[in-house]
Amino acid sequence: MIQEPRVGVFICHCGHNIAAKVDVKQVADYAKTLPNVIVSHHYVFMCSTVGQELIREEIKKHNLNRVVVAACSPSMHEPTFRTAIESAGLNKYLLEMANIREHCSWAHSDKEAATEKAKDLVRMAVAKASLLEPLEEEEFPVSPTVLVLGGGVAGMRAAIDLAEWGFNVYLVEKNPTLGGRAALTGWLTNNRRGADVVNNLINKIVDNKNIHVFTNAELVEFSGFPGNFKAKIKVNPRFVNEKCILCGECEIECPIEVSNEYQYGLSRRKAIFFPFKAAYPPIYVIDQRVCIKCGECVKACQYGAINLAEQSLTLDLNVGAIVIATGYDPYHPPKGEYAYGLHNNIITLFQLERLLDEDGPTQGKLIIGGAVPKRIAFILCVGSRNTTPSSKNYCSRMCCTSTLINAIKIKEKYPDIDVYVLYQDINTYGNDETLYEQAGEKLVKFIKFEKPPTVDISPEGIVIDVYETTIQEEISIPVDALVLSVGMVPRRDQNELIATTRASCGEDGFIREVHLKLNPVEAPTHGIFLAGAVTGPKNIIESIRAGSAAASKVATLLSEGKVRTEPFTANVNEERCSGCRICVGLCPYKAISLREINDRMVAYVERALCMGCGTCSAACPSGAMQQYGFKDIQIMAQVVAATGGGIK
Amino acid sequence: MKATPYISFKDINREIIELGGKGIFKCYQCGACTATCAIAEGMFISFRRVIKYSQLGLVDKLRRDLVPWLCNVHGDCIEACPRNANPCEILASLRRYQSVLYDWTGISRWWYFSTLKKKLLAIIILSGISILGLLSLFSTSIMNYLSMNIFVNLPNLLPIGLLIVLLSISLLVSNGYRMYKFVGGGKEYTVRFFDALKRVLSFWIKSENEAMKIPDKRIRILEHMFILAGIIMYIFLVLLYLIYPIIYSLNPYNYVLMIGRYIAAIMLVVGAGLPFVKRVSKSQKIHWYYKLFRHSTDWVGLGFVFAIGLTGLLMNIFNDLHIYSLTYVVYVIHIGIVFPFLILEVPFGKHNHWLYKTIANYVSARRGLIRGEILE
Amino acid sequence: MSKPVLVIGGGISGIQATIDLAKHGVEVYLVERNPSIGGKMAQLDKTFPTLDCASCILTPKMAEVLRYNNIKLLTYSEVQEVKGNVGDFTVKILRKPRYVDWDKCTGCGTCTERCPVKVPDEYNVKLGQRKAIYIEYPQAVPRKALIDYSHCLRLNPPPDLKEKAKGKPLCGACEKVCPTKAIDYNQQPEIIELNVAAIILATGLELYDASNIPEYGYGKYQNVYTNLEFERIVSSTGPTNGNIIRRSDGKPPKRIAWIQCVGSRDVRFNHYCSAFCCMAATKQAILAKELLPEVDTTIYYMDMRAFGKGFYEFYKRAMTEFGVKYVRGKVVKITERQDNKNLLLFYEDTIHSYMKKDEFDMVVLSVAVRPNRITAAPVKTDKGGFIQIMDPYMDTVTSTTEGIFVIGGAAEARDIPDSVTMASSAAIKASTIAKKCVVEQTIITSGERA
Repeated sequence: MIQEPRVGVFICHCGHNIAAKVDVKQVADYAKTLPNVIVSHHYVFMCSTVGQELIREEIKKHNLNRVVVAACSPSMHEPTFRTAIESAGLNKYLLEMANIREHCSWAHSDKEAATEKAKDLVRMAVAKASLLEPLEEEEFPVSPTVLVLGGGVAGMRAAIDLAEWGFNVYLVEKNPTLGGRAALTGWLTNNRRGADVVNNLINKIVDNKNIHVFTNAELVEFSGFPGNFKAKIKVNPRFVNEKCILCGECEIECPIEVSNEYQYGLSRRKAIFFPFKAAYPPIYVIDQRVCIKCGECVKACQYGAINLAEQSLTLDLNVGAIVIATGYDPYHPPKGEYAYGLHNNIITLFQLERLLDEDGPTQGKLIIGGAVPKRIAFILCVGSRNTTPSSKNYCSRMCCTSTLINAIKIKEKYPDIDVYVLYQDINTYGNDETLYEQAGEKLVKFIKFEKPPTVDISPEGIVIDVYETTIQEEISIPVDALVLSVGMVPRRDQNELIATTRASCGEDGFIREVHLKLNPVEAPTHGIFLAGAVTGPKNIIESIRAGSAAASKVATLLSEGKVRTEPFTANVNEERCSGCRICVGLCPYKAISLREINDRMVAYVERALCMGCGTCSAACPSGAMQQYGFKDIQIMAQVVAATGGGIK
Repeated sequence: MKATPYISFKDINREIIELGGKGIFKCYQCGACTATCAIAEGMFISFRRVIKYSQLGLVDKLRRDLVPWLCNVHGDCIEACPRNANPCEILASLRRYQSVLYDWTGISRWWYFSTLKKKLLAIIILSGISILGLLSLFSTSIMNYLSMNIFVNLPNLLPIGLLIVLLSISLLVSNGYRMYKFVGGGKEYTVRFFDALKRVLSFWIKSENEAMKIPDKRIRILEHMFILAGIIMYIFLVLLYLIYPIIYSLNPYNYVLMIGRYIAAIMLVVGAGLPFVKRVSKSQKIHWYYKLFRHSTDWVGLGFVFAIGLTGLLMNIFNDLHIYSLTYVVYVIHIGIVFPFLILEVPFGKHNHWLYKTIANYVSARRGLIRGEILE
Repeated sequence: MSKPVLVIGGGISGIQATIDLAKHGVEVYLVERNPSIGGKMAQLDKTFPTLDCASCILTPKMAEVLRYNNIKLLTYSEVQEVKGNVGDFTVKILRKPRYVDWDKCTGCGTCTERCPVKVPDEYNVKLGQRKAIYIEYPQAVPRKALIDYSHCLRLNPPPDLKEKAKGKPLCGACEKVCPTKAIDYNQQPEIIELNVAAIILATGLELYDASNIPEYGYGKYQNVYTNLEFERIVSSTGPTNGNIIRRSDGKPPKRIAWIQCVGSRDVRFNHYCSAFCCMAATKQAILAKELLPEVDTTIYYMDMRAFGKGFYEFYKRAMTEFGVKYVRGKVVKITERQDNKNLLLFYEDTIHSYMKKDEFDMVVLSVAVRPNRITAAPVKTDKGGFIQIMDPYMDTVTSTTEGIFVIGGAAEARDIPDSVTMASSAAIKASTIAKKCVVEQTIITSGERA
């Protein structure tokens, strides 16, 4: 039912803010001459209680059905005026604001011209207001369940915080154990290892009944909208059940031996193995990629814990939100980069961390190539800051600190080892600066380079040639061992994740957040949250914090038990839609899909997902896609009014 | 591409720390020390770089570097250093390390790395030898003026004394020559001799003049000048005395000599004594400069000067009061101090710095490292 | 009804924590010492590395604070005392008198025009002026006027004027012009007591006093600025309307230098690194280049700490696209030329290894930050005055007292994304506690509205 528009115009002085530069009375008088305008008022403060009361009275008195308020920015007082007209019985979206403060009085000094501009703005607002339609907000109930992808520190922390708040949490980890990369990070401070942190978190998870852990599991399908996502989880077989008491008999019998990824290839493991000391769940696992199902382990197991016939199972979950905390991969230098792979004594920082860890392959002894090195060098920015052709463009943030912690640890354990750190800039930001001071005290030697050093393998060993920029000398350092402080890169399987969920990645390859500054843990798609190093390099503390922060954001979405959407969503005129799919690809929120109506494929907008950006309506060649509140006719009316067309 | 072959890498940091450069590893190469330095203001040099050499253990580079010897211990860098590394002290310790490198006998290494006790023992042994030697030459007690003069003018004493001085000087000069070779003296010269001399002099006078304007620095410079002038005067007077001994007390030459001796002795006592007094007196705020003396050799060096000055002064007093027995005793002690001073301290200890500093200034001036003009 | 949570400090961290808590359905008190929330971020022009306008992303958040019914905003208030323990803190808050009835005040600003007293403006780091009755800045939330007691002629008249007036009240200009009769000279300080379940400390950072470093002559040389001052100068809402001009002669500079690590990474002042100044200086150099394309910009640094997401790319862009020069070396001394008030910088170019001297028209000091001191809360601080976090690896933001959380600059020198992340992580922990503390009803104390 389209009513005859009856528009009321209310012009605010905002004290002197508007009135000093705009002749408000003149504008009010002018507004009366515009079509459909029934009344026009000006008042010193429209936002004040008196001003709002005035609006309400006039609506009732003149039976107004559209309201134009010419005042400040809508971001300031639109909600105020919406509430006001709603209390007068109007649909609150029948309000249009003309911003004559920020866009007019504050920006201009010439009173006459500013008054003219204010008139233009009011005219445009009236033109649009006449075409406004009542809109309704939609509400959807939400599922108080959260899916957390990734069982590293960020994921675990998010799961714990969410569970403590009262949500049901599914924690899904791809690997056979929780812990992620942090569990393999050796020393974090003087007396704490990554494994200790992971252990603490795991204990909290075990204690919490609201958290359901699925290891060896992955997300295969993901659809739906915020509050009501459908997630399909595939749990891969572990082949070992809870009866396992970690006796280790099976491991002895297993004939298959492969490189141990939980020691970054420094040691070997069997096809049936237990990842690391603090691993959870505390049962053995069979690596199905290498297992030949010979059955030796089944025979060896006295507890009947092994079942080689176990099948994978699929779970369908209905979740309110998803937290992506899938982490990162260490940069893997290609063979030959800094002579990596050409000499046994050239290792990465991650491997060194394993060597210094008490649970590592050498029980914490620094044995590289069969002996304790006398002279060891670290090269920083490997894989970061564009140092080599295959390097990434960004700084990996944590490698400087991590390198220094390990260098200090080496010096503490072996004061006689000569430790060199080759760096570009030492990024020990914040209170970590003390590490840089400490490293100096421990006689760690720093060499600054601009051009990446070259590493030569000679019969005597490894020789690093580097141009030391602060002394302007080319120097050669023969070393016994070389540690490449590699950075962080996006996970290899990240593209699968992007394909499954609706996340997208930025230039650096990491998952993109809504806003780098103020929304660092939210993905552009509503209902998807990001925690930890999945959005970019972070250290463990920062990842844990991001985990908590993501949990908080999930709670902001789900705490009310329902989600409400703004009504300014896109809407398809199904008769006009040709099903050309242009909008489907363009939608940044993946809110548009095709569905069949009357044997025809037409676009369909999932209103809960639509953020009202307008991209689809702008791109739609047939004009079938219209956005509520910003329909083409409404905008065109404004444009016509602005250019002086129509009425003057 | 390889500009330099393998450079000997040696962990010398602990040695540098032992030599007093405790802040060596605090340095993060910001360049504040160079930027604040009045010397660097007039020269194309970097104090920071030589610290890096020693951090990295580039001994070859360190041996070749002149910079530590150009430092005049104004101490501005101490306050400017953001890491409180005390660059002044590091440079002092690098000088010690370099002296060790220049020395071919190995005594310097022993001198710098041994404990204070051992050093004192060595000094006592050497003084013992000298005193015994002296007594063996003339064992009768001296009770009057005449015998005193006879003793001093013993025919053997002059050549022996000269011999010892010669030994001391030749040790020092041989080390100086080694230094000259190490730093590549004679090479890369771009400035002519007299031009270089002119630049050096004008530069030093200018920079020390500037420093004299600041009270803190003035007193330190004056102390150093006292010691320097005292020593030079002393050497001159002693030589004069040895060559033209005094016979008649009423000769005006005698008075000149006497007054000169007093002045020189007082200069030494004051110049070398003040640091001791200031260091020991806890009531007043200890100035940074006196905190610099962290290495035992500094105190030994100062102690030598002070003791020489004091014994010289006492000798004069007793002599002029005609207390010849005491004069004799003090004289013997005096010689007992001068002997180890010449044998140990001058060629191997701190008092070699006048030669090394001269060489360093000369070479750097000839290389054109001194700017034509001082930065504003 | 769950017990409320108290957030102390209305900077970006405090605002974010408050909004998150409100969305969690918890009642929140946001206490801010200044008349408006917004904190340091409100004073910034743009933010790195995206070059987003700081106000444009901050002011919506500030306005959002007023929109929730379960947020009680208490600005111009100070926490005086915190007692109790987790779940049951008793907090005494002093509401400083504003001498303006904020329920009546509409923020029109008429009074500020009429007020005869001019005072240096805190928002513009004292580069501009405000009146004795003032609104902190146009985007202030709440946008309400208040009277600065110490400068008001009526409330605190100078002795000579007081004598002349012979007991009659002075001035009163604001009272006469106020259209809503909101001025109330008799307002008294008020102390309110709250019972809260948890406390979030977001007391933030302040600049280290650059005049403690005599070598740089801040406060003595006119053309030496702090980074925050420069931020106001480039800002279009700042005292110079976004024109970069020198304090000495009002002319635009041709050469600007930034000096990094002023008072940080320096054992004489503060050991820690202030974490964001490298990028902030880079950003400021870019802004300067955008406003004055001919300007020569040089940044003197020791380590370029471009560690965050997009930071290194930003740094490279500044170098290649904008031609910002980077020189590695610490400036130790600045002297001023008497004739044209230009500044001479003394430093060692560590890439050439000798001392250099450069002349600049303007110098910006990237001054270290230090935490604002808060004495009321029973928490431990570290050497730098930052509030200690019990165990950053476990509870991420819990201070040494359970139930008191610390976020943003109060915990460590951090940039905006890290502060915001900490804020959210504190919010979930605080709301978890608050939800467990069920009370029958809360004592609703009036907060401020738009």
